[in-house]
Amino acid sequence: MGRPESEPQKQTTLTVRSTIPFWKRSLALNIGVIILSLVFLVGFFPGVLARCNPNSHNPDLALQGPSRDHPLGTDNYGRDMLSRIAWGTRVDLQIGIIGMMVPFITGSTIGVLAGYYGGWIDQVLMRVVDVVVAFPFIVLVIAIVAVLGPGIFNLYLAISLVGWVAFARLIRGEVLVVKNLDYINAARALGYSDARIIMRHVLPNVLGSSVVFAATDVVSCMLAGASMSFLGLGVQPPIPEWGALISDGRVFMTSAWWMAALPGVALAITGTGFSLLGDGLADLLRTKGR
Amino acid sequence: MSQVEGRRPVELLLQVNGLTTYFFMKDATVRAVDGVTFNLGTGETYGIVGESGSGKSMTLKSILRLVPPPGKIIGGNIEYGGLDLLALSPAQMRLIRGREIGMIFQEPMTALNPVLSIKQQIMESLDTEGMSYQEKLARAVELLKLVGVPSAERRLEEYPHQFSGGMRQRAMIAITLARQPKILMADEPTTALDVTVQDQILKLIAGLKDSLGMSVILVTHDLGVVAQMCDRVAVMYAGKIVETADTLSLFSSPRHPYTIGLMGSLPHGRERGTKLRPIKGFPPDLTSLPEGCSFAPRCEFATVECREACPSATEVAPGHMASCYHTARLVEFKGIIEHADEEGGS
Amino acid sequence: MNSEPEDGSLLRVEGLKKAFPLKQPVIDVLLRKPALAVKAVDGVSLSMRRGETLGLVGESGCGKSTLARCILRLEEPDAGKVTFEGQDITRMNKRELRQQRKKMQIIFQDPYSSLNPRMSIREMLEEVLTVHRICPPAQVASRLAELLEMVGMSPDTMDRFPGEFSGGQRQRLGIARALAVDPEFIIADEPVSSLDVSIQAQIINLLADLQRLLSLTVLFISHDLRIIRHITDCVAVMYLGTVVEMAQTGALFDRPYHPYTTVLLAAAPALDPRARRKEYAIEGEPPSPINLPRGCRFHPRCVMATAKCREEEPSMRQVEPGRMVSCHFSNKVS
Repeated sequence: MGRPESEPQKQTTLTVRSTIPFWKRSLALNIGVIILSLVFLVGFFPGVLARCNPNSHNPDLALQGPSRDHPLGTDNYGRDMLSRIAWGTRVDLQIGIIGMMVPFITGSTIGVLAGYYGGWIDQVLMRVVDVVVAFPFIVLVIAIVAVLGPGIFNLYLAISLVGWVAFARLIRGEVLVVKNLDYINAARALGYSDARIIMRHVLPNVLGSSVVFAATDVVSCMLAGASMSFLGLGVQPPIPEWGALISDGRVFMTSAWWMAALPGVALAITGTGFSLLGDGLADLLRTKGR
Repeated sequence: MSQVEGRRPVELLLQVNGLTTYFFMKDATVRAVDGVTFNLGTGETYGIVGESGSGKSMTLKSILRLVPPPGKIIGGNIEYGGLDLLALSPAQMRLIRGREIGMIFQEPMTALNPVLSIKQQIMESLDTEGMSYQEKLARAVELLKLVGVPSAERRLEEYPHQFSGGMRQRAMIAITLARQPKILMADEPTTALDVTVQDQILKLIAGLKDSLGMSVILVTHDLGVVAQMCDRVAVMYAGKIVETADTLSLFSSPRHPYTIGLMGSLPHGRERGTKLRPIKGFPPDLTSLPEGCSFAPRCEFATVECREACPSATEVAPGHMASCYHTARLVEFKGIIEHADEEGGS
Repeated sequence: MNSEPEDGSLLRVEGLKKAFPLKQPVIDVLLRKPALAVKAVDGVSLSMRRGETLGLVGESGCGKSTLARCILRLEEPDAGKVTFEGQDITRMNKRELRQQRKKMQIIFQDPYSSLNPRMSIREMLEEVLTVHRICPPAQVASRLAELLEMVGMSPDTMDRFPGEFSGGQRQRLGIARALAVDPEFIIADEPVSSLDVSIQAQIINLLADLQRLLSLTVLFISHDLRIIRHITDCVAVMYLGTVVEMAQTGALFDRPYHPYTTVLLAAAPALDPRARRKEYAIEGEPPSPINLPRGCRFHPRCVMATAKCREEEPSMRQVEPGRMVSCHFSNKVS
């Protein structure tokens, strides 16, 4: 059955692209997105939930439990808890997301360079990582803020100084794996510059796990911010930040539990939302296949 | 004691009838093993040859009921020693595995436990035999020697990562033979090994088969391995056996288009510059097999009836079965051996 | 500057060496013990004429893949020289090397890791054409289509991603990528070993066609002797980092001179059920490339080994026209 040319028929693709749309692939992702959509909605438009001015004092309404006018009660100054928590959403989201950004960018960059080039950059990086990782994240952040002084800027600075390490280590590991794959060798054999190889071939294939980690890192940053405010080292009053609200409510735990507990609940819900988002993204990445 | 599948009367050790294993995925069903029937006689090496996706490995796993979910054995029976293996309880099946039927795998590194020493792993397989520690140890040494590992006593203490690929495969054979199973199933045991090591392992298996009186089912994609090792062969495609014969007959007169195509794809002693004759098309999609013969889309001889109904096995010569409507036309095709004859043996 | 040296060789490798040092325990570093190294390539010399297909065979650990990477300078050789079209590419700087790369390309073994999973085929091939300015932007689309058709792929598939293709198709795409720069020399590193037998034949036919069509010079690395015999003009056999025998393909298979070549040919399972041997082709395991045996590196497993073999390493000599062997007994046919 000899034919003159060896390719008698053209090859078309074998597998159809996965027909499951991404909104059906991961339950975690869906729930996470729903929760976060609501949280972000409140963050952008606190007025959706907040009926009152979060800072207006009403001494005669102080320490009232949940009621129709004040569904989440009032604090010791008579401020509406619902409004304070609602307005605090924006603050905590900012701390979480902005706090995560700088470490994400710097850590990823350093990790990629260390992983790709190896050598002394990598050695130095690994030793630094070893040191930083020996301390719990919160402890280091507290220490730095204690030195620099309270305030939101110093909080961001402290988180940036400490948080990049986790990203660097994570992405470096991924780069070490990808570096030896044949498509990178092919790119080198084609004479592509290192910059091109890193940006177009390495980075797209390693960023995935970094992004997943970033989602959960938002939670860590939010908690760091809340802890700082709880200790009085973070956001300064009267800005309603959930950690600060919890701190305010601490002494009233037995008499007005809603002051401390409910901001905590808000924190937990938002944290869960981000965690689920991270899980969901990880699921998506996994099922995308080779 | 049937004689249907052999040229000489053999005592049948294992009879697989209509074995069917499907994988039930979210949006599709993979028909991995689709009505496989074959027999294994005592002292025989039976080869199952096919490419990836043919179902050959899953057939072995189905026999030992090691099919991972979402796979499920949904049909057929497997007769061994008067019992139907598919009807046994899990506890009874555990008695069969290892003691009656053993299996070795392709990648010794993943089949061996990296955190246990070789000694521990061999002795562990003897745990159910009621032997004392000393007895088990002695047997372990004996087994390692049997599979040709030099300095057996010393090497027993080592871990899998300290063994080379060939040595690990020998260790795995030792573990599998510890309880002297009557049937050894080998799933591509040498595919990951160098050619000189492959030669040693295959000859080791052949030697052990004779000295221990075992039967062997050997799954491979390499027709050379089949030629060197097997008494009879089954060729699988898309979950079904398409041809069965004794090795010599298969190599000298193949009678299924897939077998012929497979042999035509091999470069064997042809002149340089002549084209190979590959099988056109792509491997089958096991989730959507065509109506009729699964090989029809790629078959030079396919006709309308091939696409309508799947052909059943017909006997084209004593002991030689092929599942094709056109076996009569294929008589003119010479197999590999003829070519070898022409060049005085390649 | 593109002329070839007088002997007409396109590629010339001389005395290439590459070793990978092992991590030393700190104690040894402090005691200044010399580091152990895996001597992957330990003095390889060979040459290829334009249009020739040279097969490189050997078992794992013989250094064939490392040799390939050193030739392309994907690894930097420790010693030795690689000359292409008369130019020493081992000494080139980055800029010159980049230009040189257009002439020498490689096809990899594993179809599942040789294509970037996050780039579509179009992006992958366009990148090659743009970076090397192969053709003006207006012609890019037609050149892409041409490349895909040359390897038997339909241009309709250009916007798909590697994950949607089978192993054989991915290999074709890898070949298309290598051909995009219009190379003169291609190293095929076990290009079909990971594919099913029926697909192997398709790819081998394709490679043979392309070689003829484009007048390529091919270094074909494989452990499959049947394929080597079918597709190559000459063969070099490697063992533990050196070439032990090099000859025309037909001659090598009919009459191997080096004992290791004989073993290799004997070990491959023959396709004839009537030709079965009980004895092993060779005893023992290949030694590690870390502690090489003294003298001839094959002597511990060689049936013909004598005292001389244990002491003195043989050098590669031409024993007859077109046949080089590295053995003290090379004058005697084994």
